[in-house]
Amino acid sequence: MNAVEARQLRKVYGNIVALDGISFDVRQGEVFGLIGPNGSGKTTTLRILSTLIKPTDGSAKVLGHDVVKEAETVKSLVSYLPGEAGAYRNLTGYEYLRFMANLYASDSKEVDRMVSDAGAISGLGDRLRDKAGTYSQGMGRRLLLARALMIRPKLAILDEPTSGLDVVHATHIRRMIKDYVANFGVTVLLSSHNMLEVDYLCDRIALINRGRLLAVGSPQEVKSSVSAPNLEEAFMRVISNG
Amino acid sequence: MANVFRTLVIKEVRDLIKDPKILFGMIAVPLIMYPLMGLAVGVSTEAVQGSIGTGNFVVMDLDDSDFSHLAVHYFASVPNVTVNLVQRQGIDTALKEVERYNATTLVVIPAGFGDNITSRRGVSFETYTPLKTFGVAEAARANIVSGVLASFGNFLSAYYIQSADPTLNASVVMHPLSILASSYVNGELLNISPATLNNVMIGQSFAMPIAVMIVVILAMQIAATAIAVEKEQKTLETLLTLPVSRFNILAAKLLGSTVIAGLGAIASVIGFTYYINSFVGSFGSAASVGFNLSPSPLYYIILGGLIFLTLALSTSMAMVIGVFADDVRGAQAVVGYLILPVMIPSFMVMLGDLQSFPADLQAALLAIPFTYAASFAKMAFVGDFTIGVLGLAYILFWTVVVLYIGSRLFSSEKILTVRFSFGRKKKASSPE
Repeated sequence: MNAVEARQLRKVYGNIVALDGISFDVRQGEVFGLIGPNGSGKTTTLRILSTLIKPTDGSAKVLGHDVVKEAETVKSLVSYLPGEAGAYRNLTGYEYLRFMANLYASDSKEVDRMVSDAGAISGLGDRLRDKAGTYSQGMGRRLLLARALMIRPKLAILDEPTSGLDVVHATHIRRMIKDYVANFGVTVLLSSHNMLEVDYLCDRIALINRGRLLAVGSPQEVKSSVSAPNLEEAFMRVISNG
Repeated sequence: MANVFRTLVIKEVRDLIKDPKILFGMIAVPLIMYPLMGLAVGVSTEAVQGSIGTGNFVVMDLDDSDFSHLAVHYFASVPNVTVNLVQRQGIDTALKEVERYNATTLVVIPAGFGDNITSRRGVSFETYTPLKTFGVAEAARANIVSGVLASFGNFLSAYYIQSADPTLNASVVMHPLSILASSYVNGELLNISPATLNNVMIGQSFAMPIAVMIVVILAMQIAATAIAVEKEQKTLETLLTLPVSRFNILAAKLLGSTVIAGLGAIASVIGFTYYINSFVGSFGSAASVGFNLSPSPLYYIILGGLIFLTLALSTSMAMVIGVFADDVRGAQAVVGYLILPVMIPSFMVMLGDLQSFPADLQAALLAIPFTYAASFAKMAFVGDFTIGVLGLAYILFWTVVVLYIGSRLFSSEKILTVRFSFGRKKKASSPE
């Protein structure tokens, strides 16, 4: 069974067609990247799969569960990190993680395990005792990624996980994603603008533009299909062909 | 699920109470501000009472007769009054004596004062009062002097009556009629005039509606910003993807807002009671005027129900409308629109009686759900609980309607996509 099966997904906001019938699969245990420019429909796709919004047409399943009809089940399988996200400014990092863990864990032991994992993923150390409002953008993003991964979801949906971060924080986050997938078999669906990141992290990618899917495959396959030396060039060629 | 709901409520309360704006603005400030205001009023009142408690004036006797001596003696015999007799001199220099004695007024007994009394003609005093501060204490001290002089008029009347007919009781002639006023309250006869009773009940008439109003406005302010804060802190999307039903999130936010508003209200009521007591104490208490009434348990049950439902309705309304706000500032603007329907009925029923208003005004006020708690709060001793019971049903109806709309709205993606900038131009979210 695939982690994600999207079929002819369409989303229309008034006169704007955000998604124009895209279909793709994400296999279990892989890191799958949705690549596209701003406004291409990446975030809309991720929001549909995380049950935040409903598709205008088409269907999507997460581990066999329909994201519209079985939204509550899907929510328990998925952990979503929005592109623009924050933590509660008045809570400390620990309080925030503990609050989130309490919503997923079955007992206090599991809560402790999750918070401990999150401490390791974030690498924030004693700063977790400080209010989240005092964190830099990079520290905040590390906290949120830790929150998303600590529950060991079946599917982690990460919308531009390193967007706007400096190289130190971005590198830490990429390593954490890679390690977590290797250690716990979590499936990751992410979106990104950063081709270096995509090449480093993703097993397979989908190129998306103006709500339509242009290419799917491993980074190497996509590069080869258009005879491009790197993903950036491949992306530009696919877009110009599409 | 109860555990998840409890987790959500605890997070709401913790997040709100750790917000310095809420901790200080809604809890600490009322606890500190009102007592400080009360302290200031108390200190001022004590200072005024201290300074007006004693009369101190200068008398210049230009008549030097038995009757003028009698008047001076009379003034000096009044408790807490100090009379400073000065030599005959010009008014200007006599006023300097007023300053020297730190007195309030120069009282001049004019020449011919005694002769006029002997001839049963009217007499007069001349008073000269230097005013410096135009404050309450200065005016009150001048009034004490006027009171002392006026009481000498009563003394003279009694003297005239007695000397004309020694068989007459001068006091009866001057005050031939007295009214023995009683009040009949909730089946109990009280030997107290309605005016005295009203003074005693001032706390009931004003404090309760004000307390209800404060609670409701606080709750609305917090509830309206509950979703806006999530949007501003960019936590809403994450919250909505958690394995928790959206109705639970909505309910937890309502309960969290109500708990914080309740704490704020307790702080306000404690502070406000201290403030009111600092000067209402002078009106007297129920015990001090010789009766002790307490409302029936049913009154408290209905009032508690009305306040709870009013809170539930107001927080639901504020939250539902606040959902459309872009940010906390926008949400606070929303509350501005909602506060009016809360304040207007509260003030109207606080200052007047609902039953005495014209029928159409009564109907208009009763159509506003926020009228009932404030109105019923004044009916502690009326015994007729009809309006309270009607209010419970009416507010419950509107609460269910608003909660239904809220849960529908919260379950849809409109919570993410529909946005209004209150007071600014409208905009729609753009998809990625």
